[in-house]
Amino acid sequence: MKQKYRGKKLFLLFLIMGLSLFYGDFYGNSLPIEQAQLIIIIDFNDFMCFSCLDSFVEFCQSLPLHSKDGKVCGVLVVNEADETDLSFKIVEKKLRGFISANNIKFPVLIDNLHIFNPLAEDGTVIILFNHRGKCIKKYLFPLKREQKADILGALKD
Amino acid sequence: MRKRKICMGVLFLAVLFCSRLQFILAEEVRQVSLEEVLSIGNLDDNILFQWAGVAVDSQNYIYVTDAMDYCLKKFDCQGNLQKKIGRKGQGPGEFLAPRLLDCSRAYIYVTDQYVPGFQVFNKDLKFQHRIPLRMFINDFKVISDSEIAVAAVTSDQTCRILVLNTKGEVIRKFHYSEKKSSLMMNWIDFDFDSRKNLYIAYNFQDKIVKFDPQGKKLWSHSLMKMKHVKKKKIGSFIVPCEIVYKDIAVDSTGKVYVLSGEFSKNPSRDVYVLDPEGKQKAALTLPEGSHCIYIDGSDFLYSRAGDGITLKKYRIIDSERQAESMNK
Repeated sequence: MKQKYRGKKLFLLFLIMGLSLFYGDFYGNSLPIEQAQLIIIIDFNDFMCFSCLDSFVEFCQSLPLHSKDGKVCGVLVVNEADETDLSFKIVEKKLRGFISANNIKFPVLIDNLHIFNPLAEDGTVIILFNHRGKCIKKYLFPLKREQKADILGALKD
Repeated sequence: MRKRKICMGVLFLAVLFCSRLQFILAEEVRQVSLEEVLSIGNLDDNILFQWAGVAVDSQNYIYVTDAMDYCLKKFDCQGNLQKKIGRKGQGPGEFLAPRLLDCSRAYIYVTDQYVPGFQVFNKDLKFQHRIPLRMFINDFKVISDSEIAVAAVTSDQTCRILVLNTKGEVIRKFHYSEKKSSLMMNWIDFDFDSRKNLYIAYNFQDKIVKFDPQGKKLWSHSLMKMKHVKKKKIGSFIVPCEIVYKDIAVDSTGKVYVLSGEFSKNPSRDVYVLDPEGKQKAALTLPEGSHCIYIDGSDFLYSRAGDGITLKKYRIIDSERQAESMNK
């Protein structure tokens, strides 16, 4: 389940910074993406499958409060084929409801440029950066207990 | 010369027959239109995010479950939010995925996709009690304050509707098919008319069936003229993956409205209107795809729009119905 990505952090960060410049988060703030240690890529299809979201929501609620400090960031990916201006706005509204109902504290942006779609081919995933930026791990949901401990441990460090 | 005259005669008759046939068909299935009278929820508000179920009480209050924010919501007939209750959880008044609902004279009954049974609320949305069940519910209708009819998902693949009392005890059982079916093939939606006749639409079979209150089958019809739906293997299970009918609802005059699944010209939008004898008399097309239809006591039709962020209420404009009411 766990894969390693090397040397891609800068590329990903660059892309996300670009996205954040374009869109910001739902509260109109620009996103402190460059500090992010953890990026959660949320597959919009999982929004229609509430059991798929369960593990994800549980994980989000276990994140320490410092996720507000920009260490954690979410990106919602939508299917290119389904996208129109109206459907994008509908997705935005649903995400707003989801964030509020699940008390999610970190910023989430919508990737309507579809840059992250390939990373979410297997559903909602977590991409973890270590503090040196040399190693990236990818975790798929549902998370195993030790994977969750890994991630939370890395955030503490 | 004579042959030519015969040919011309046959051709003339054929043309006449075809034009007459077209006229007959046009007479048989007329198109019914809808007039929007209310729209609840839009892109900018925070009222509905992903509504799942709707019910309307005798005072025209509209109750809606919202799966995205785990809430049960009450609106007045103008669409103003009166109250909402709920959050994520499994305690009283909490939901994991609120779904179906229906109301009796005094109470609102709500199901959760992941928690078997009902939560019961009063009309002020105060939690009253829970009706525990061991099985998940595919569809249900409240018959009275003391009886609920439930199409349950059972592991033994039997086809039955259970009538429960308010404690969840089975008062009586009704088998709508003697055959045991393969996984999910017995899934149904159902509704009753004012005379307690039962109408069933199978979700994964091309079959609409009517039973009288004593359980006698009165008719069975196929609207799509198809035999099988595609199936796929998920793990060790083989399950159907194409929905034939999504919902069924009966209005106060006994007309039966069947929401199509994936096999109609406009999937999830075409609604076939049958008379009480099961003959298709009319059709209508919803402006947007919906997962369900609901018809209230005043015969207004409710359906989904905006992929679940909007609830629409329509007046059904049926020329035959208008003529009937004029005659009355």
